[in-house]
Order: sequence, then C-alpha cells, then structure tokens
Amino acid sequence: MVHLRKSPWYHRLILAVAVFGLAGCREATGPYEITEVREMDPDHGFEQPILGSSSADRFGYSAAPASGLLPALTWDVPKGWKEVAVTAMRQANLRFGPADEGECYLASAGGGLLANLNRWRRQMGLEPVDQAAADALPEQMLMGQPATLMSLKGTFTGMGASPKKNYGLHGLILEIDGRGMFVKMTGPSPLVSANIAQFDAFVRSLSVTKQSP
Amino acid sequence: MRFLYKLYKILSSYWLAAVTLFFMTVVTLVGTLDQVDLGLWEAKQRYFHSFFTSYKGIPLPGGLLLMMLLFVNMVFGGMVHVRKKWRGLPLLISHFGMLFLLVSGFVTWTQTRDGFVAVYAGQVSDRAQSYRDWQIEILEVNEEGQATKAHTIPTEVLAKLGPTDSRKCMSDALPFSLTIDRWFENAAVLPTSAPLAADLPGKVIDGFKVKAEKGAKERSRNFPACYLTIRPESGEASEVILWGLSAKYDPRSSTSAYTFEVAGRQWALQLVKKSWPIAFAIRLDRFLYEKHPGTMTPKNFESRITRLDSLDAAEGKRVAIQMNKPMRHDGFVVFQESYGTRDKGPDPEYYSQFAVSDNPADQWPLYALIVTGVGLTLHFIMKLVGFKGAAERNRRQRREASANLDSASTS
Repeated sequence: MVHLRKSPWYHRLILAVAVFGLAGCREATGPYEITEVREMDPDHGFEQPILGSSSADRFGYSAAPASGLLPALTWDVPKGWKEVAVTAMRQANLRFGPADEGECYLASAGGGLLANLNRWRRQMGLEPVDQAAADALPEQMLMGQPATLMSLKGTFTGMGASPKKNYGLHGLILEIDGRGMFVKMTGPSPLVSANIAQFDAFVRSLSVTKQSP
Repeated sequence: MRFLYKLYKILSSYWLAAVTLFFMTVVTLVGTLDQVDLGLWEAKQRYFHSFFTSYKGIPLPGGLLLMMLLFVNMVFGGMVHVRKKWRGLPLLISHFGMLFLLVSGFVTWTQTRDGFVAVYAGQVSDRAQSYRDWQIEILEVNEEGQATKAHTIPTEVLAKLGPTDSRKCMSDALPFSLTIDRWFENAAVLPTSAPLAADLPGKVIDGFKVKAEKGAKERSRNFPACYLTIRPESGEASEVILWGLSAKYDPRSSTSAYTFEVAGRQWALQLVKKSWPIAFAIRLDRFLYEKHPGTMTPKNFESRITRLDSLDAAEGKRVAIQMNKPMRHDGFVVFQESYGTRDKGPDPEYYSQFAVSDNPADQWPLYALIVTGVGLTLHFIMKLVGFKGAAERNRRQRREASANLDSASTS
C-alpha cells in the first residue's frame, strides 16, 4: 500500500504516470452513431462509384471490366404494363396491376443459378434447395439461351420491405460465367398468374442492341 | 513544497538537458537504423511519436517524451532559472526561438493533415486523399443512379477494430444498421475456387472469403477488408464483404461499390481512403516529364495547373508546381510528389500526383529559426564587443605596467 502523505516524491511520480497511462487505454466498442455526412456532387463524376457491380467485379475476378450491369438491350413493353425509371441495379423496370403492385425487372447478380434461386426462395419464405432440385427445374429461352424457369408462392420479403402474404414470384435465371442474369416478376399471386403471358412476351422481345461502329 | 522545489531543480538542470540530448541522439540513430526493416511510417510511430520504446529489447524513452522533457527543461532552465540581465537578453531570445521550434513541431504533429491529389490533364479535383487511412462510406443513390450523399464510418472507429471484433453502426438518417463483423488491416479476398481459400476459416459470402495478410512495411500499401451485415428496420438481413482493392487507384477509374436496395431506395457501400475538401480546386493543364538521357530516371517533372475557386469555376490562376517549388495558398501547401500511368504503350499519358499538406504551423520553423538566429547573432556580437573591450583593457594594462616598469628602472 502506498501512503501518499508519507511516500517519497518518486512514488507520486510513478502513480501520476500510471494514471496517465490508464487514461489512454482503448475504449469499449459499443454501438456507433454515424454523424459524419457529406454531399456528393452528381455532376462531377470524379468520385462517383460504379454501381451494380458483382462481387467478382468488385474483387477483380471478372474477365470483363466492371461496367455496371448488362449489355445494352432493347425490349417491348407488354400490353397493360408500363415502364418506370431504371435504377442502378435494374436495366429494365416495369410495373403492372391496378395499383402498380406487380413488378417485373431485368438485372444481374453474382452467384449463379443455385445462389440466386435460393435467394429468391428465402425472399418467399421457402427453404433452400440443392443443385439436383435446381437442375430439375424447367427451362425457357432467354435471348437465345436456355434459362431456368421457376414459379414460387409464399410470403414475399424483399430487403427493407414488410412481409407480403400470398405473393407470387415468376422468374428466369440465365447463368453466364458464374453470374446470374435474370428476369423477375413479383406481385400478389393472382396478379402474377394472370400476367404470365405478358411476362413471356417481354422475355421474347428482349434483344441485344446493335452497337454502331 | 520541498517536493516541488526538488522537481523544479531537476527539470531546470543542465544534467537533464545533457541526458535528454544524449537519448535524442540514440533514439534518432536506432530509429533510422530500424526504418530499413519497419518502413518510414512505422519507425516514426515507434521511435518518435511515442513516450517509451525499445530497440532489440533495450528500453528507451520515446521521441515524444524527450521533446516534452526538453521543452520543460528549456522553459525552466533557459527562461525562468536564468538571471534576468540585459546582457542575457540575446540568449533568452534564442531560447524562446528554440521553444517556438518545439511548439511548431508539436502543432505539426497534432494538427497536420497530409494527403494527395492525383489528376490527369483536363481533370479537376478539390479533395485530398489520405495515404493510409480508410473509411466506410454509405452512399445514398438517386433515381438516376448517382451517389448524392455519403454517410461515413470514420477511420477512428475502424482503427479500433480487429479480426475478432464486431461493432454496430447506425444513424437515424438510415433505414438500416450496419454491423462490422470482422476487420482486417491488410487482407486479400479470394474466390472459394482458389486453392489458397480451401483451408481458410471464416464465412463464404457470394463465393468469396477474406484471407488476412501481414501488414505491409509501408502502411499505404495495406488493403483492408471486412465482413458487414446490413440489417434493415424490417426484412431480411444480408452480408457483404468490402475490400480496399475495390477502391479506385487511378484517377480515371472509379470505385466498384456494393449496391443494394432498402425501403425502395438504392444504397451503396464502399471502403475507400479517407478524403477531405481543400480550399480550392486543382485542374491539371499539362504535365511535363524529363528523363536523364538513356535512362528511366526522372531528371525533372513539373505540373502546369490552374488553381480554381471551385470545381465549376471556368477561370483561375495558372501556377507551375515543380519538384522543389511548391504552391502555397490558403493554408495549404501543394508539392509535386510523383506521377503514374496505367497506359502500357510507348508514349503513355501520365497523371500527376501532388502531396497536399494542411499544416497551420507550416512557416513556424522558419520564424523560430529567424528568432533563434537573431538571438544568437546578438549574443555573439555582444561577446565579440566584450572580448574586444577586454582585449583593449588588457593591452592598456600591459602598456601601463610596462611603462611603470620602465620608469621604475630609470629611476
């Protein structure tokens, strides 16, 4: 025990150094509140990122340079459907139904057939399946290549959305070099079933835009 | 009081000054020797920005402690303890100059932000990037697919994490939280198909795993990685790997961000080097590069730039920045640092890289040396005058003594 009143001066010095040292220890890592926000100028592309990149693109394992999404495509908007603005992840973005509650879009994602199939199944509240089950699914032509067709029913939970009961998902996944290109239609189950013909018409109309030399 | 007086005697003693200067010499020597193995940044941190250090198991005081001791010693011994006579004024001035030099070193150490700006001819930039500090940015993306706002998890938070740590980050402005599950200061991200990935522990996300790497000798060559979990307020959580190598490293390229949707909006995540705005924008007009004949060794390189008030300004001041001729403006110093290219052809186009230093004490060492120089010059002049006076007195005394001796012998 060190008695400060009787201790020599160097005991106090050691104690002061110890207190100073302890004060510099690392603090505990509790939740962190993000407070630093800055505006980014969209008109100056200097610091604009490439959006919609797959994991292979982001980590430098893609043969093609990261370009965002898919090759330039054209399509026809089926009767009764309407086109809405594309986003960074959706090259074609369509809506249908009385209150536009049905949606159909064209996009790509890393992970191939099984990963995308099971991601969709999870979104519909269904158990994942194995490769054999994926291989047994029917096929439909998508831009001249056989793509895997699936129709799912369940409670749909997209990222950030509240669960929607009695929903349907009808989609095609085309695996190219380990990546999935897909056309995905979701909405209330009766509405999705009633729009299968429009979905097929949209898929048939998809074609690659001819690049000018 | 007795304790305080003893402490004052020690802190103002010549003995402490001698010991401090001796250890400063030793620490400078071993720090320079160890820089070969540790690299510049690590050696600076270990030997000069520390209170205590060691070299080959021998404990030593760190540069920070020595500088503080020298400062205190000079305040007490060189300013307070000395007798206040007009003859001592020049030495007081020179001591003040040296103290000011130590203060400027401290301000530089605590307040300076060093970064770089790299641009190709025609490009404009008004942000400096850190060499070695990283941050995670959560980007808000508008309907046109443009990032409009960045919410930042700063370096200070990431620097406290390690490979086994986890930390939740959130904001009222975001409809989701992020949890950094593991943080690697230097890492490689491998596809699970790679042989090196077979025995790696850790999660597989979208066909990739993180492999921890040993820290690079130069910290600027580290590429950190982390696992992140995105948890929306409602709905399914998702996991993602972020890696520093996805960030842009050429002024013409762009960072490949991870993009996702929450609450019907687009968001993106990127792990990028820390950046901050500078007081003006730099537009590179022309980069001049000259090699020694028959070699690849650069003889001279310089940049002709236009300094603009903002990114949108059409007109500005034209400035030439050369290797030993920086541009000083608005508290910033812009040095010509290096250049680079990704072109592989015979006549590549180079980008120019500028070191940008935001140091409030930039010119203080110069002022300190002027003050010290003035003090020492006055001191030497006074000594010289005193010496000449004493010499004259000695001669006069010798002449008088000689005259007295002559008169005594004559009589």
